[in-house]
Amino acid sequence: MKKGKLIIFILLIVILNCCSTIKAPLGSVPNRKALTIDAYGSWLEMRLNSSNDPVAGEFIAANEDSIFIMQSGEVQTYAISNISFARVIIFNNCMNAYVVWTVAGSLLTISNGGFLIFTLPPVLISGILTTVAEANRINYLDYPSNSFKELSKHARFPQGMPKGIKSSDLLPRLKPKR
Amino acid sequence: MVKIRCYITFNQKGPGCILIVLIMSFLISCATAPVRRETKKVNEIATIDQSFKYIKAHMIDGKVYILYDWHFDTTANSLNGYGLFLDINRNIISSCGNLKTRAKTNVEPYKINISDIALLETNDAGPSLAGGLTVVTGVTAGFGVYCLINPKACFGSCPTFYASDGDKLEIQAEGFSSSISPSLEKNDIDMLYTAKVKNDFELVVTNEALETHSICYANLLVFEKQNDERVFSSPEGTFYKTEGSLPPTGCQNNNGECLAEIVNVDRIELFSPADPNDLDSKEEIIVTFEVENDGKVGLLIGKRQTLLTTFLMYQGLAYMGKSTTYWMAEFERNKITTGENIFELLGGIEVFSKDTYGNWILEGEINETGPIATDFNIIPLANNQHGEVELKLRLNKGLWRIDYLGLATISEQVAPILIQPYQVETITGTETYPLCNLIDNNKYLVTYPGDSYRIKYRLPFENAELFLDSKGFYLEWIRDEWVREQNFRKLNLMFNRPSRYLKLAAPDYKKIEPYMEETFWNSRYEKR
Repeated sequence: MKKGKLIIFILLIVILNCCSTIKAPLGSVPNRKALTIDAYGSWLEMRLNSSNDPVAGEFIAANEDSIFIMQSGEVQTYAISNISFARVIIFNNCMNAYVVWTVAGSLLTISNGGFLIFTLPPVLISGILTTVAEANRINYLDYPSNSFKELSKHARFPQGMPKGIKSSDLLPRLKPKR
Repeated sequence: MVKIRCYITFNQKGPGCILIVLIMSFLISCATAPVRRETKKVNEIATIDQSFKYIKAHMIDGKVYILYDWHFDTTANSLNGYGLFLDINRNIISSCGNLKTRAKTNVEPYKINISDIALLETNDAGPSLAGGLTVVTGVTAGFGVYCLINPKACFGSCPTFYASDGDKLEIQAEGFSSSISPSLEKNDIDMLYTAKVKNDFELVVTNEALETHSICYANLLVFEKQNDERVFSSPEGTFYKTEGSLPPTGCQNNNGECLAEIVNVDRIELFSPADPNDLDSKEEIIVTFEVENDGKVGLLIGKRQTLLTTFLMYQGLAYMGKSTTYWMAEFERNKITTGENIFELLGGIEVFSKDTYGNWILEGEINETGPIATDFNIIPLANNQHGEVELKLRLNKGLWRIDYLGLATISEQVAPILIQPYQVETITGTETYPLCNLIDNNKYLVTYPGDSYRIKYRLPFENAELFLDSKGFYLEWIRDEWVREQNFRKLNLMFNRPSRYLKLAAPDYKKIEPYMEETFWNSRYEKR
């Protein structure tokens, strides 16, 4: 029985080590399934040529030569020519939820005693596959490997900053209530 | 990588270790495709897949509608649907129905004037590798029953070029047949063998398939010649002027005598059906000539491919299924590495001559993609020939249709004059400046199914040999019938074990091989 639990935990450690995930701050982006009905911009992280300080916030819009990003409740503007690297994180995956499910499911099968060899594999295999598939689902786009035109599809205003809107009129994304 | 010792479970080493190995093998490279977001302007409405459950209409003023159960009302010029209407800070202005449950409702839907919409957005969040793919549905309906049942036999090509032969418009060339994506863009040189030459020369370029064609340029290469002379290009792109052409005196292949099929340029073609057990299966043709005058000669070959390559290409796209955009994007980014290319495996037509000891020596290979127009090339023979000359052609069974074989006397190597078009007339199409797009190498003349343009040239000679030098690429429109065949295991086999795949695919190909030509030619797209 102890050895059975040890196998499970070793395998789950392997999962966690193998899964590479890129995550945005909690509440800043939706999960994958909610993407289709979420209307805010994705989380944008940038490095500038003119500064070592990283820039991050909600991606508001991109025009031909500049981008708009909501930082600390205010919209800031940056020239695209000043951006050396940018990453748009589109959603946070549900990997943690799947790992919990996998562990819980695996622990339950241990109670099956002598039948563990038959019940464990389907739980672990299906759980691990789902976990890894979800963890490895690509949830970001990088610049310059993608154009800003491609990244701007994930802005709050993918059509560009609408005319007539003042930056001061824009408010940050509402955080989910705990 | 964490090392795992094989702990014994229930005194059974085998199953425990196998389990761990299996799980580890799944963990390696499980990367899945990204979710896909597509944005379209309102003039691209026709290309939006209406099977998406949700659509977002981003308004010009920054507000947004998120809709379910949506459709376009072409009469009222509106987008109709249920859901939410949000302001610039994504607060709810109004709601109609239930966005999360997508419940049916009796209330009137939103009716959004299309002219107020800045951009339309759709998302494919998985779970499959599908993403952002616009599938063409129902368009094969007009193409005949057999085309519907066997969509891989339906007409497909690159741009097709027609010229008058003095009597009627004849298909002369198909441009860049193998350039099925932007990264495969390349130029292609095709002889306009039967074109009637005159100072004011015209080509008609058509798009007769469910494809988007992007033509970078379509220039003419012109060689001045005397009446009996002709100019041919070798596989290496060198041009040779020839005087006269000897017909063969004998022809033998696995099926026996084959002289009648190859002695004249007459559309009666020499063709062997594909091997039913292995699509990669070679055959040999022995052709003989009587050469009276000692001199440098070259073998003339008038040939086109069969539809085997078209079948394989469409089958590959079908295996990609809904994730075609993902695979093509990865291919464009050079992230896909494969084994031997399946088309390289099938190969071209190799030409051998005999040395003084009677051994076969390879003279050259011609491998031109394209099943539509017969193309002519010359393979210069290394040594001068005299008396009875025996040549061997080695080629893949079922891949080639040979219309003509001849032996021409080579007089000299020549270089062309390049002529650009001076005018382009739109017969059917939407390009505003077609001539500018063909002249400027940074632009493309883009054509859609049913489009055709008349390209005009001024030639410097009354008596000339003409070649079309075209460059560009084209994109296949993925058909609904193909998407149902999504199968990544077979796609992997096709890419990485083509030899094995060609054996497995042979029975399926053999079922449609007898009907492919007729189905293909009868399914050309015409605008009504």
